[in-house]
Amino acid sequence: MFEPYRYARPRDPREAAALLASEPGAKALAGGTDLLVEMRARNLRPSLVVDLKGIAGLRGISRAGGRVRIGALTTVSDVLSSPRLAGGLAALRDAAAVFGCHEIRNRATVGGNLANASPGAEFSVPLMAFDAEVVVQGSEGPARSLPLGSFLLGPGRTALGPGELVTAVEIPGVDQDLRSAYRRRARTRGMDLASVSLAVVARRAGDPARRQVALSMGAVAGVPPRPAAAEAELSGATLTRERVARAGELLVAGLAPRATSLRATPGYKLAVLPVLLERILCDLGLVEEDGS
Amino acid sequence: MRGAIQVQINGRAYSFDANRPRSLLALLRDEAGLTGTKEGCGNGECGACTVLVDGLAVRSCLVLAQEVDGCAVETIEGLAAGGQLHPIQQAFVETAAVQCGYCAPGFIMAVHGLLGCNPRPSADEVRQALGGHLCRCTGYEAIERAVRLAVERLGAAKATVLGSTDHGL
Repeated sequence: MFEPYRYARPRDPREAAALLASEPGAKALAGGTDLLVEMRARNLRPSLVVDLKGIAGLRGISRAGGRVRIGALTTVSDVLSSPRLAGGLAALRDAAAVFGCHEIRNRATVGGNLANASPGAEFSVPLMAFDAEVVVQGSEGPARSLPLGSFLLGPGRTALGPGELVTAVEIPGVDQDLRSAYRRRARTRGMDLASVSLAVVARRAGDPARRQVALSMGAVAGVPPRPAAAEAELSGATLTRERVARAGELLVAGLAPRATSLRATPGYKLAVLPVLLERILCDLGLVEEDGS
Repeated sequence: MRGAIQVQINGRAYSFDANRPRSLLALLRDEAGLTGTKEGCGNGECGACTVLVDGLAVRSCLVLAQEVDGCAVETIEGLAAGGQLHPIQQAFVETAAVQCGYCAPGFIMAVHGLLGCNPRPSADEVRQALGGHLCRCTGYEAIERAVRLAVERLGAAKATVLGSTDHGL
């Protein structure tokens, strides 16, 4: 059922990185929910499978000051049940709640979801809006950190070198005044990838004049885009229905989702995104009702 | 890895060749002879191959055999004890939640995994846990009835063991 592979289960991130660098056919395995599908289809034929699950310290969620760190091997179920990801980081729990299905959530990891670099990856979309940083380890030297926007290069492509692995993702600026949410549309609720998705992150959410709104969209481009004009429209001002409607137009201006998507037409995606935006902003309590 | 995959399956110790490329599903069916676990899509889409690894429901088609070295695996064959069906299995029989039966082991193991973590799931939590399982016969409603019946009976059994008080279970 699979092409032959050798299997290694290193104990240390540098040892794992060295194994990944040791041969061109080496491939990292985290939860396996993407890798095994590709191996079965013979799209990937790794000569060496480097299982990262033997490495201690790569699973779990911690907070230091205003920074939240999510270990690469943290599972989607871990995200769903973590009290640290309530409140302002709710977008991550929103993403976890609709991710695959129960058994996939028990296995799939945050690091794997980012490294797989799908344009509609459930965690890439909110993490882009959080300005998250990806922590990457090679076989020598200290870990390096880069913005998720620089880490993701295109569908299935990342800035990871041949001997590097993702060890964590970090979210800066987590405080009491952070609000976020993530919504998607899919063909079925049970088990599907996103047809289109939107994340909203509001910093200094309680003060309209100082509020900064970040947006990120899934399954509309090779890398989840951050629509700067729509973000500017929603930042630093009271959010009236009119302003939200203008932001919705700016959100999709210039987007050209590919017509060959299996899940939704470009027209559907462009029509749905402004609706998702309005719903999320209302759900977050950021929209002023008329007359106020 | 070292020479053999050492794994507990349904409480029994097994040892398998570590070098052959195959999934946990293939290991269970072809090498352990435990054919109760079914292959549906083989791609993680249908849920028929669901088993528990260290107590958590996983799709055995999406796990390499080598990954379960040192783990405890539970399959549908491990549920019945002493000639008695497990209460979840019994509930599936009584509510006619099984027609062709091909998806049933996956559903039952998913329910078993859910109740292991959450003995009193809400209707929504049951739907969340089973939402990725396909059944083309029953229309799912009988399966939901089976889960409710199993939850009631297992809750009652636990309360009896603990004494007269419910202890919040």
